[in-house]
Amino acid sequence: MKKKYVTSFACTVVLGTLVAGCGTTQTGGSGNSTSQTSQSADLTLAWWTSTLRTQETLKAISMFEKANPSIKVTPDYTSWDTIWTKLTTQIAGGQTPDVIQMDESQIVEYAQNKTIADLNKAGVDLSGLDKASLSLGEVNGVLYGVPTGVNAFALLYDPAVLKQIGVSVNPSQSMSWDSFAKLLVQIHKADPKIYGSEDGIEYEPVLEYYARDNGEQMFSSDDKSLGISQQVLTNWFTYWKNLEENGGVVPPSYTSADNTSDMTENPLVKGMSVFGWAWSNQLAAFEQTANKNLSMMMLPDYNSSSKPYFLHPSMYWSLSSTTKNPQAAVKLLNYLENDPQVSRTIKLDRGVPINEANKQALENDGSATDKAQIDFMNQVEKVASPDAVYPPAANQIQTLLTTAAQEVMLNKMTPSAAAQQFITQANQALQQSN
Amino acid sequence: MATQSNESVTAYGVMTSKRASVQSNSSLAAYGFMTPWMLGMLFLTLGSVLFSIYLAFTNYNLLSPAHFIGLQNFKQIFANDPDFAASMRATFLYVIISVPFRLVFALLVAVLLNRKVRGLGVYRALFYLPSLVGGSVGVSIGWRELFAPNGTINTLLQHVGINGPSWLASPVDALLVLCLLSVWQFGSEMVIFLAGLKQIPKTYYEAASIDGASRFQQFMKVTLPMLSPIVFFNLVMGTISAFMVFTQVYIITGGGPMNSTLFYVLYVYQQAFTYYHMGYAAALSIILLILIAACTGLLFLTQKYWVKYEN
Repeated sequence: MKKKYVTSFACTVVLGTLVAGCGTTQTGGSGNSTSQTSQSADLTLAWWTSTLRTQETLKAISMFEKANPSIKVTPDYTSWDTIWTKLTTQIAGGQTPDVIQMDESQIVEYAQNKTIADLNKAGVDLSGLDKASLSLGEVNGVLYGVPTGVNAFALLYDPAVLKQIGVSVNPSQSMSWDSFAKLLVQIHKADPKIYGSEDGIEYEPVLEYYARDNGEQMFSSDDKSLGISQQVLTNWFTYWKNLEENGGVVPPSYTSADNTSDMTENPLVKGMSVFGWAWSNQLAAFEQTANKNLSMMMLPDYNSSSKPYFLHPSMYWSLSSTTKNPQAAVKLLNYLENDPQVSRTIKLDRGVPINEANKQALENDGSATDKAQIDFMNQVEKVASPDAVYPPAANQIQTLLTTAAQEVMLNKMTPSAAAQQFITQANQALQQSN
Repeated sequence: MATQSNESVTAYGVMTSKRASVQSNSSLAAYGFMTPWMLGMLFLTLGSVLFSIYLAFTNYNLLSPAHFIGLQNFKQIFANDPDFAASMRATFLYVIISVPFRLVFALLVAVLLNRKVRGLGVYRALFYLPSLVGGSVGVSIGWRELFAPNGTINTLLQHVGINGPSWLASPVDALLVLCLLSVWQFGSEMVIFLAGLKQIPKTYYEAASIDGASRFQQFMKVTLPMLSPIVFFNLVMGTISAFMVFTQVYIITGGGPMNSTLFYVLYVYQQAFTYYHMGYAAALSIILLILIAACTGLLFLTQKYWVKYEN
């Protein structure tokens, strides 16, 4: 008899927990509008991060909470490699973070699906922002993301090593791609233990720059196919292939074994190469990770008449369209974008601020690293020309480029065959996504 | 149950009837213990399975509701998807290489451990340890570091004057590195083999040795046939889990280089969460389900040729 009791008791307990479990999720998921009227609110802020960015953003959050004691912000940060997976899962489960750090490669997809809100309607304070940069957050004329700042692709390098091996560069002079290649080989010759640069063959933004340098665009104007021609793409693969063979860039065996965007694995950080590729706003994070002073210069051929450079919104702040606390969320977004104290904390890690007062303040009393970056962006602005927002399949294009690049690197395909394959597959992906 | 207890009452009197009621109580307890699992199966697993079957016929990007598109996903998979072919190839290679090696290795270690040596328990625990940590993230990261271009293995090789290859950069080596990890985690199969070895009656070996059979002959003629049902069990379970391997490959190679280790489940994951093609991914998983069922069925068919059941 006792056993029977135990059994039924166990069953009841188990059933009870299950029911209770269901109950809590449901109230969590569907409890709309209850906290609308009251002052207190819970928000979630989601962003991809680096060690430096985590420190800065947590500080900004605690400042916001101090200024708004009724609002509690839950930080939700992860690496670039996992954020989109995490976010889509959260959204499918009805747990969209209230404020989201958004990227150019994703914003169209999120805007088209109405996951993120129209920020003009939401009442975000845009008064102090640079108009031209702000328009980078528009999808079909509607503002879905407030750019945190602008950045551009850059070459980072270690000036101490250059000095040590007796090779000099002049960052203020535009170099042709050929003379850049010669410089890289010269470095390897001066010290066979190190290589000129990190391999650039897999970097989609650099390829985009290269296409523009050759008078082409990465994507066609209707976003249904690639704009880059097979010839230019073949030249691109051949350019890197040669450098891989003569020590200008780190060996393919290293590049193709590294499958993460982990900064600690970067050849520049590891001291394997003098040059590395990065977005300009990553300078401070790279310096922190590598624990050394780095310099920044513009990509080869930046002065060319085809105006290859383009300004890129480093990232955006976007608002969930289903947030339960729209007012509090807008308050947080405003604070992160416009507050001078936040700007002094985050500095240029999210790009050169498009809030003009904040930019001015950093220009006046920022550190040497900050000033170098603002300087860099001012240079870029002088030679840049506009660029269209990425198509929804942009994330797939990067994967395809990586695969094609590896096929060239590991001698499985000739540059022209790999170019052909990449174009075919990318066009297919672009067509399907539209 | 009721008729049985009636019968026992007539045959053995009150004593057995008590035993029968204890028996029915304990089967009730068994159901009690199974309840959480059954409920989980019903409400968590079954629901998801049915939903993903539905999703396979839709276009669903996770951000907005799914809409029905019929067989389009399947057409696309079979007619026009080079990555599907690549992932099939990688997965089958992995299954064909890793499963047999793991079984042979587990059996060898089990035979070695099936004797009276001092501190046997410690050895068994040690050999079982790697499979306890199983498909964990930590082990995979460790494995990646071990085989990295400047990793532990290459550093050790360098000390004896060998310039180690960049393991994870070569399509063949990368696959082998993953197989090696699987073989290293042979513990659970080993434990099952050990249990099986213990059940083989000593008398068979005595009889064999009286007939003059060598150790090797005893192994081939007594141990292996007696163990065949367990080999079969391990083979089926190993094949199924090898088809579904994910964590290791996601972390160690990410499917590269050149999609040479794009294992099926990783590809499903990529489609679902990197490209937001959830419907397409659901279609892919249904194909995997059918594939695993077919392979298991095939193994069951071969049973009558080599598996020997005692009775």
